[in-house]
Amino acid sequence: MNYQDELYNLAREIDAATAAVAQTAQQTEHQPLQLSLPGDLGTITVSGAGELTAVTLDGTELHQYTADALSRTLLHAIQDAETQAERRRADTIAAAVAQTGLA
Amino acid sequence: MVFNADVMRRQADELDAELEQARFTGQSRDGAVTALVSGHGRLIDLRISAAVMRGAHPQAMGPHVVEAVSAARRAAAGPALAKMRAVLDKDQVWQPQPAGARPDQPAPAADYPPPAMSTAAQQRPREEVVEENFDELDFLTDDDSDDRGRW
Repeated sequence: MNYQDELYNLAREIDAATAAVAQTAQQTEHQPLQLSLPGDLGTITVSGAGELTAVTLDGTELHQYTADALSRTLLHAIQDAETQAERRRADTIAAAVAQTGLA
Repeated sequence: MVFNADVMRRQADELDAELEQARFTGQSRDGAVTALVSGHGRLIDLRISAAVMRGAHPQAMGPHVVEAVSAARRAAAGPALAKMRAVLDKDQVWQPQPAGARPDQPAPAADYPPPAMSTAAQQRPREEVVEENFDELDFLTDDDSDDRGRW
């Protein structure tokens, strides 16, 4: 095999590995993450990319909360859910990169 | 024109720090929920109006929370994108925020405009920019016939 063929094959391998990682990243972004709020208050849903998409609240539990307390609870839950989704995405991509040998 | 990776890296670090300090707010359409985010879009604070809790259906505020957070992130995205382009596009010049500015205060998008140079650059005639789009170039198949035989 001459130098040009070796280079061509290497480029094809890199291309395929990059596409595989990109596909993994895209699949992860389409997997939402849902976390329960403390005290059966409801749920927080974030996209696979770590962005808030939905907040559902249970009316029967809300009477226990003041506006400030609910604000704090939701803030921490959203931050936590987004962080978890971002970490999951990063871990999945890192695993895909390691599998392809691009690292 | 010389590409200086060190300068770009330094500017990117400065921009990163500036965006971390910048603050943007967003509200739900009814004004009941207010969200505060950093220039990166990281959620920093969330305020729910006490009036909502006294309303008939406080459980219906979930979508309003999403609305407020999304609005704040949209407000942050515009200036952040313009500044990132200014750093990454070598034809533009990015300047950090003046020392007298108060980045810890909530700043609406209108108070945090993109650099003047980026606007000027966008208004340049198209033909002045002679750059190749590497996204559209397939290095394996788009072979330049003039270069045949150089291997």
